[in-house]
Amino acid sequence: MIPEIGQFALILAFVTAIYQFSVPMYGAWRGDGRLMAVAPPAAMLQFGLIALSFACLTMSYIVSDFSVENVFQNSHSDKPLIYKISGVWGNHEGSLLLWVMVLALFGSAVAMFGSNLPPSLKARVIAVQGSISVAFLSFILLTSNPFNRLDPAPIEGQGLNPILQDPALAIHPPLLYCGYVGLSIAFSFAVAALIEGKVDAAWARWVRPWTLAAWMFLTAGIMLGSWWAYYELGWGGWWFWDPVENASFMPWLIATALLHSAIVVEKRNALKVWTILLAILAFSLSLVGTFLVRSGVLTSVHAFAVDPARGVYVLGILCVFIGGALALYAWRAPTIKTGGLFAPISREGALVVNNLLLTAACAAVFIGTLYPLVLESITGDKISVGPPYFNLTFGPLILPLLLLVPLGPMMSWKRADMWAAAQRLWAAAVVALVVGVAAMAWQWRGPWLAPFGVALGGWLIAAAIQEMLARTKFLSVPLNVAWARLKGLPGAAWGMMIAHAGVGVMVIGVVGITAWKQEIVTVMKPGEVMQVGSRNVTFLGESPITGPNYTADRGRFSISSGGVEISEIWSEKRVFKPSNQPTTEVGIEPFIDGDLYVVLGDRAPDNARTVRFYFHPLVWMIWLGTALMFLGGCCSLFDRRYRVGAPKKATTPVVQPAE
Amino acid sequence: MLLWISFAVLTALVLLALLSPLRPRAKQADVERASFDLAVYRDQLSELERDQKAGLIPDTEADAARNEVSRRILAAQAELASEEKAARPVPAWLSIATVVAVPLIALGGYLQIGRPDLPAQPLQARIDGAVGNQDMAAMVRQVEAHLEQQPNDARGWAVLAPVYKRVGRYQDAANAYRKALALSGPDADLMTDMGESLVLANNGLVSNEAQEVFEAAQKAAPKHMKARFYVALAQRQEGKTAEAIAGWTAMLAESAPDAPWRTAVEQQISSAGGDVPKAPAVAGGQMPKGPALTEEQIQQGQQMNASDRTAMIRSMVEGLDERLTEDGADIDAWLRLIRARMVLGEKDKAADALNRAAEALKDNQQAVARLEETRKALGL
Repeated sequence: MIPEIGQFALILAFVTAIYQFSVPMYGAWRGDGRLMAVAPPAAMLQFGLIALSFACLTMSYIVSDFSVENVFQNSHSDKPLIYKISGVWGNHEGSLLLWVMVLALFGSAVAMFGSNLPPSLKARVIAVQGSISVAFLSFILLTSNPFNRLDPAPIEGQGLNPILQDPALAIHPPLLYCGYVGLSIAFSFAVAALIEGKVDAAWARWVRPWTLAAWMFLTAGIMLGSWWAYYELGWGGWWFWDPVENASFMPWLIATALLHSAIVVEKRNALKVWTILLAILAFSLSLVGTFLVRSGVLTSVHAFAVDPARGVYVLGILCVFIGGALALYAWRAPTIKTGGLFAPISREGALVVNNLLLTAACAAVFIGTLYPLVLESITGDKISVGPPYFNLTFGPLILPLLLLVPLGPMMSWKRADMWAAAQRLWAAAVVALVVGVAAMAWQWRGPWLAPFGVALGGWLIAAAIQEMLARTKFLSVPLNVAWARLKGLPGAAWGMMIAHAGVGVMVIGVVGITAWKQEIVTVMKPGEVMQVGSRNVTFLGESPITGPNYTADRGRFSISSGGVEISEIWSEKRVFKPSNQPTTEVGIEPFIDGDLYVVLGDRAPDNARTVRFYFHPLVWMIWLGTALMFLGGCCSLFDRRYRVGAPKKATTPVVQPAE
Repeated sequence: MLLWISFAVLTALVLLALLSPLRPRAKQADVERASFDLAVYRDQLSELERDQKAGLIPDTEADAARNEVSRRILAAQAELASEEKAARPVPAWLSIATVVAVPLIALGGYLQIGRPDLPAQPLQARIDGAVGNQDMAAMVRQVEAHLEQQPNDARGWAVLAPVYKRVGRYQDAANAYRKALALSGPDADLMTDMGESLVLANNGLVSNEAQEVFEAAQKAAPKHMKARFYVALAQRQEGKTAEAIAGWTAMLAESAPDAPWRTAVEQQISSAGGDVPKAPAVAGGQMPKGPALTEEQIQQGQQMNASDRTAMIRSMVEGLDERLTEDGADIDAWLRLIRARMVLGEKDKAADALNRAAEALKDNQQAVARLEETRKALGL
């Protein structure tokens, strides 16, 4: 009965989505408050129904109900409970169900927290959300039904792809989807504003926190995915410019731009039309990402759905939403009034430069990702666009951006003095210089460009700290006053500082692993020693291991430095039931100067093993940097200015211009 | 039935949630939109104040910005005055259309893709109810689990092996026969079946291992027909056609006229180029119409099906019985045992189990009550 209830709830959700789309949209057009009031309960109901459906599917996974085809194909009764649950979204159908559930969750969040939105805007936003739901629910019901049944039911499932059985990957898709789908809110707001023909003051107040939340989830999701690729795939890298990675990186770049341009709309009522375009683009790229991954046009680890019929359907959804939104934009954008004026050299101007560079960088990634696909579909030639392309295009666009990041916060709104702003950063420049020289001294053999990269990171971090000190007037006022000012700083200021410093930390990490990585491939017998960086690694030997649903050979290694043993690590080659698919578990020992990374390879004659060693300098700074960006987002999200109350009914407004 | 009731309740809830805002007296959001703008603008003014204090915006620019915001406030207030309030009745067709369309689309869609007839089948419940539901696949799982715990149960392996063979898991079948043989000692039937499984796993080719097994079986039981058949088949595949034909011909001579394997053997002889000896007439003048090898196997399979199933049920029931004799605290297990005894037609043993359960669980009021219920329901 449980799977059938899930099926029925999903169909009811589809019907509700149609209602959620059509009635409030009609009501807003008629100016009918009662019809508009339909939107919030419909949105919440839709979430409730999809959540019920999702719970039913999860339950079928937990109890191993193999009469559900999806469970049969992706689960196995021997799997640990956490991977039975994560198996729900470790496949095409289930992950789409998760996708629409997150979509409905965001829609109902607007319904719940949107009391300070003008009713017609709120009704239209929720209606647009409903229309996206209609598209994806019909896609699920028509082409990818997770509740298809099998009769007679098999007694055992086929199991989940073993490389997906991993804690980081259990939470990576939900986070990434929260990011992708969170951008749908910005999209719905943009489309609603275009339909209304006006950008309310409340509009920007709303778009920015939602974009921020989506951006945070996207950041965390991408980082987890990258971290997973780093320790699970055993290729010894953290970012491969793989199309699937790019699919999540492109919306991230645009969301970052949107995040910054929304500040201008919010604070200064300017850049409205541009921000609307970015909001449309950000979600469009999320849809493109969904299409790339879900249609199977890429054949990569993630592309588990290789089915052209589905691809065509998603392509159709893509065309309707992106094309429709852009057409609406072309038609309505000219009618939107532009707001506050600003000089080219000003905080606003700096944010425009940021936007242009980020969008151009995104375009570079977009071309590098899609050009091979387009070329292959037209001429049949297979080409692969790899890191050299991205280093040559993305690099030169992102470098000036990074250099300019500290300047923006030093400039004032409306009109600024560039020279004065630059002068205020002299301390940060000195720090950057010192850091660069130190890096050159530490790795004097390394590539000559690397110290500049480290200096760039130092520049970003130092400038962020300096900005904070300047704001508290540290050293120019007594310490306790500075402390009071520090505590009184708004959350947004903290958020900006922490996130910008995080970018600097990450830059140093990226430079470290890119420029100074060491790789050794060798054949070792038990007892042999290999020098990796400044440490010695001894191969202790291997032993067989039996896990819950796999068997493995575990190779143990001991690490010593200066003759003193520091720790022992292991790396495994696993073979999973029932597919007999082999996977590799990497052994990683983190040190302050970088990760020691060991991969057990194939057997060699004489009881020996092929072993790959890597030393990844400063790689932890990449994860720390992204974590700081996430933290910065949190600080900014809890800024008090997003708590604008809803207007009270029947208050007679008193004319009260400037105090 | 419960399923349809749940559907009805869900649909009713959905209609309730969708239609309640349309009630004539429902609260509706009719705050003028300009007042929403005003709330934000006022907030912007105070924020400007904060920024100016923090030195983020020069004083002259702050004044200009303040003027900008104030102008917007004035405009919003003008708009507020001109906004019209219009409360219109909800069109009746909308509510009616909703009440009709929602259940119609939902039910219509469900009947297209749903399977209301198919209950959920959680694995544990399937395994527990395997005997009662005659669920072969689940029984196999149960026996497998049992054998994982007690790999020295020869009878368990012997029961499991033919089931594997029938569902096409030939290699597993061969392994199970091998284990049964290792535990119970040489047995011509088991050896032949093991060899046959190996042949089937090998797409009909008699491997060296299979041949050795058949020859051992024939040595143990010289009259074993199946073993002789396969020994001859192995000879033919080795190229010793004459010996193979001789073996088969000898087999036919010793077989009854209506022996089920007669046709298969005759086919082998003729395809090997030998002369098929005339079959003696069957009493009643009817020629035997033996099926071909494959059909024969199917038929055998079907016969085995029933007997295997009983054998498997019996082995499991005995196991359950033993377990409960050692530890009789599980009322559900007792009830399963009692029902399984009834399925097997062993009414006496069922009554016996019921009495033993009552004895073991006499301190548990609830369990005793359930046992009494069962006693009445089964008429014991």
